[in-house]
Amino acid sequence: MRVLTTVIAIAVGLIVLIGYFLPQAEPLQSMLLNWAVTIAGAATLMGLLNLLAVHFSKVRRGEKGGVYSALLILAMLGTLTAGIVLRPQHVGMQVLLNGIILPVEGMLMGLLTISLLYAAMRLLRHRTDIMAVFFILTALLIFLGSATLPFGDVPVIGTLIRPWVSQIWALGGARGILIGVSLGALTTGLRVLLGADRPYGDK
Amino acid sequence: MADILQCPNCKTENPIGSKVCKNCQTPLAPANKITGGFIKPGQTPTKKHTADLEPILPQWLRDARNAARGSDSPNSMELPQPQEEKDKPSAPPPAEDLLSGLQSSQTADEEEEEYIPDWLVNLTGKSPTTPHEASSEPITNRRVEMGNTADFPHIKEEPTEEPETPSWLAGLQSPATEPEKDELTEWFRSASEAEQPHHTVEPKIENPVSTPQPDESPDWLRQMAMDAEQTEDAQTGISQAESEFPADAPDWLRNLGSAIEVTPSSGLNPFNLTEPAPAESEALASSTETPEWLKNESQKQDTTPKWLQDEGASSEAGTPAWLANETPVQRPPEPDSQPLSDDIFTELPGWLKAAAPESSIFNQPAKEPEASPEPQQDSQDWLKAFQLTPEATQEPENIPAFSTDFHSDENVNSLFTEMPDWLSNAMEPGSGISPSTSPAEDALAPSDLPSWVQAMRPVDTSKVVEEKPNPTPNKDLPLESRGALAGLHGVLPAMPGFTPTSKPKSYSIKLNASKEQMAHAEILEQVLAAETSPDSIETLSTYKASRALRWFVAFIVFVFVAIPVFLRTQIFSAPVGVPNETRDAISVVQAIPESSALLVAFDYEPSRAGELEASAAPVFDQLLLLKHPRLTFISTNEIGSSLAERFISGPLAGHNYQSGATYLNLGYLSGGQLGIRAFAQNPANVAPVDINSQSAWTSAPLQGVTALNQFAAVILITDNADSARAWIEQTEITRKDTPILVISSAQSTPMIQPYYASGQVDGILSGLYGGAIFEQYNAGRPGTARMYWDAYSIGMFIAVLLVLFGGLWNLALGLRDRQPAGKRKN
Amino acid sequence: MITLSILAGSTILLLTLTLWKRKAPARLRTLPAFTKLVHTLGLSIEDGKRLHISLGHGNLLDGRGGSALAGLATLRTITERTSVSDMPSVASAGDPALGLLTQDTTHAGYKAAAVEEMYQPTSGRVAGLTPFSYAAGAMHITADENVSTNILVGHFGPEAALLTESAERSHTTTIGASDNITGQAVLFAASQEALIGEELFAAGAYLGNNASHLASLTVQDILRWLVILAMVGGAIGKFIGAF
Repeated sequence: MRVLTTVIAIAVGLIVLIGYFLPQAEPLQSMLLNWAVTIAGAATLMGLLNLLAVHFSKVRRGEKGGVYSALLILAMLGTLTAGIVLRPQHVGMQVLLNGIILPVEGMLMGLLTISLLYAAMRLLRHRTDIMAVFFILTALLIFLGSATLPFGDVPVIGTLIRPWVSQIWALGGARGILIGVSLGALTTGLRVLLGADRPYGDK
Repeated sequence: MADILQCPNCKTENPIGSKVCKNCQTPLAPANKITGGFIKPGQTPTKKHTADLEPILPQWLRDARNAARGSDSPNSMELPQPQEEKDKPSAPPPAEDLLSGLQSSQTADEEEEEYIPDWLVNLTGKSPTTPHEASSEPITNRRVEMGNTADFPHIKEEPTEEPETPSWLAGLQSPATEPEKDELTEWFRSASEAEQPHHTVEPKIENPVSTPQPDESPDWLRQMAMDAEQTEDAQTGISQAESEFPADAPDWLRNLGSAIEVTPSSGLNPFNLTEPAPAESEALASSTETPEWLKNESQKQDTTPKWLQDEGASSEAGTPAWLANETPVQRPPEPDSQPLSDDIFTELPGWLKAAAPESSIFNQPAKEPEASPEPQQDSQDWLKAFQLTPEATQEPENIPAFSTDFHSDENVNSLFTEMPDWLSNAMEPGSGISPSTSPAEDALAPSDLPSWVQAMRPVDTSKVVEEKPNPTPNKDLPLESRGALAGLHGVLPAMPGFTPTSKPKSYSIKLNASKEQMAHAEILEQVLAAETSPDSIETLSTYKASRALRWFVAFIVFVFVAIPVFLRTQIFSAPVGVPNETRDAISVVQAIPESSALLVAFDYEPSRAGELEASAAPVFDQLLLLKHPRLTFISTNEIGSSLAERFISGPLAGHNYQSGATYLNLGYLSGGQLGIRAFAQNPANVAPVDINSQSAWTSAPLQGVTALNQFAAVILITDNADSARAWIEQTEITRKDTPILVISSAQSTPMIQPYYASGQVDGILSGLYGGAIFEQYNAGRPGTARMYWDAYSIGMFIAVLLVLFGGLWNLALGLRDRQPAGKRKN
Repeated sequence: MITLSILAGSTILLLTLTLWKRKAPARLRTLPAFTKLVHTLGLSIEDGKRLHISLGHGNLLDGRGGSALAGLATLRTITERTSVSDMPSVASAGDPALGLLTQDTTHAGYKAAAVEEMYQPTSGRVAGLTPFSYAAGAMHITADENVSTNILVGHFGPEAALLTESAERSHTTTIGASDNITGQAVLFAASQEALIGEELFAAGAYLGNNASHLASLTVQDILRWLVILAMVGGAIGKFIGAF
């Protein structure tokens, strides 16, 4: 079984890759990709079931936070039922979205803002090095460059320094990081294709 | 089990004594064979011949036996062996009876001459035989029993010329004692006739002494017997003949008897031994007749054990080591104590009884005639030979219990190295002789102690040579009146001053501890408990979260951001500078034809809805107002379809767009990047129906559209650079010349700008900044971005202040925290 | 064509270097994050606490799949090492497919450690389907399930700040690695140890010392130098007007 799984994974990966270079392999590639899309959709349902199972076990064992897990299960099942029955355009669904989902997510975003500010303030206590100083200085420049004054943009910083830092230095650094990440993803994918890495449950 | 023999071959049971198996004729080994058979519990030991025990005897004993065989004139003190043995083949003696081997190892001639007295016979379990000359008996056995040099009276020993016999044993042999030997054997035999032989495992000491016949016993024996009788007369219930020493009794015999105190009430001790009468001892002292076997003892000492050989150096020639330099044994004065009563040794000659050892084998003051009981005829007089007389104990150096090995301190010390001085000092002559005065009924009086126990009493032998025995008991030391050491002075008590006379008192189990000790115990308990509890490991370089700082930051941000929103202030200026990507985005929007189909992808999270709706609202407001496009919504986000519905019915509600008529919601596109690619290749196949399960590609919004490139433009609303990248890259081929406009959040714009720079993206609106700029091109409609702009600017400045000053403060704190560590390192 | 050549060359290099690394393992530069990660593995076992390995909300079907695969490899190694702990590790994911693979990988780790009977299906779970819902679900794991260290390896956005804040309030350590720029910035500021850029993909080599992982690091370095040369050469060529 382990060998069969490995063979299937390697074969499908190679076919999809070859399909990018050989037009003759495109139909097969498309078919496999369509299968992957379907499986991804099914995996979404499996993820929902996994979520239900985890929180249900917490309720059953009476673990800490079991009450919230029970609320989550009720909310999930209720929303799922309403969405299937009422459809997303229904007013009720809009009420759920506007009254619960969006405020919760917005609240989390607000918490994130406070957390990021708090982390930025305490950064120099954790890391007293030059990179942390540059990090703080860059953040300050972006802050100042993004805002405006009553009489217009912040002079020099908003019109000159901020665009230069964000579009030259930050962007260049980000590109370099992304290239490195891409190379890492490339080699990781090659390892999976060659069977060196078998994340599908093999020893 | 003892009466049968099991065949090793066929397991047939055969009667004991059978030589071969009656079934298979296999030779049967006798039971209790010395080579392998053992007596099992319950079995009666099989009678064995002494000669069979030869292999198991120690070497020194074997040598003694060999020497004895080679001796021409057996000593008078030699115990005669039974006549039967010389005719019998040497049978394997029983393993338990070592003494019997002494009798069976001699040659036939020797066996004829040897005579084993009854008392010795009874020890070995053999039937008594006719008295013969006493064979060269290894005196070491008797010496061991006696243990004390003072037990033996001083005897002048003559060297013998028998090299085969061990020197120590040869010294015991004396040709002149032949007649004496005969006399001894006779009275030995006569003494044993009165008793039944005991065939038990443990050698039972019986009274080997019998009343000597007047015609057979030598004069000295008769004198001893007479003396013993005199002492017995002084005692009640004691036969006079048993305790009488003949006049010519050897000194060693006289000195063997020691005053043993016997409690008349005590009947437990079968070895009621008494000291010979002083008169007897005096008579014995005058006797110069020494048995040959005693005289010749000292000549051959090669085979003696080392503990005996050590004393041979200082011994006189021909004198047994243990008898060398011995002063004549003087019979202790007749004790006033009651004579011993011995029902067993009724026929012991008097001299032997008189020579019964005293309670201690070491030097003991013999000048306690009152304490020494008269030897009794019925007592085990033969053991009295091993008893110390009071006079003998006075001169311990003259009466060594062993050979001259004991004369030197070094030798003495080497033998009794483990004996404590207090015990040896306690064993003073005469101290244990006095009768017990213990009121306890069950206390064993010293006089009741068997001689062999008394002989085992430790005595400080270092004083044997140097010091003269203190005739007077050490009255300064306390007298032990209980137990095995009763009668001795200087015995260490079990507990000083303790004399348990009542029931042991019970002790409280309550812990008697002070407060400080209890506190220490509690601390120890805590330490032990801490050992078992796991220590929580501190996390790596974590600082304690400051809840106050969080609240402060949250309060500041909330206040300064919420006030402008509620007040709808417009203090801060709208952004003036228009980025290129924003200008191009404006151009793209303005270039869209009227009533064209637009594909709008909602790939942002609900948390970003506020920013992106504020950024996208002016664009769609302008489009819907001026171009009246047909909108098609799609999303790779699960909640994107709901966000699309919210967007069209919220900020764009005024345009009254209807689903299925002016806009179509295709719902969720699964598969992420693959789904986008698949949709780009064949959108009608991947998303055939809308969220209402209505056919999408036949509806009005998608009329005339079958491929991606038939859309007028693709507008991507995303907060994720990866999603933007996926849409850009996967639709690039199929989209062809269809422009793509990206409305992104401020955080992802830097990642999307390379695509704009490469021409893969036609325009970018970046967050609230872009929306605010586009609103300026839309106559300020809808105004959401402008409403948020003041709060946005104030928030930025507050963030700058908090990060700047908070960072500096924490920098100082960090430097302060690291400074002690640095100083410590220095 | 360029793409095909890059792919072919990378494959050949990877195979060759894998065989080479088996005989001569490479010496890797010290990364404090991995050093502390290894240290925390033992500490958590001794402390009687568990590890929380968070794989983010990366999708296997797009570009974020690389970080997801790297996270799975890290999870595999950590699970095998901590399988005999009294408190086994917990893995969480923000993507359904990734959540299923998390369970499978955890199971494989217990199998490899020969303690398959100790595997619990709830040790690999889907905490949420959106980034913030995933962060909210992962936050309670840190707070409620006796966690000593949070290991964030995968695709994380700014929601990682919520995870780090929850870890700080629970006095737990956070070691983070993300392929997202924003996530890296957040982890750099909020976590104890952060891995920047492609250091995320070196986790398998530092933890497991596998030959293929070591070879992939070398291939990355080679390709990076090639990209550097191409960029510099292209810039110079563009500057001089060659093309």
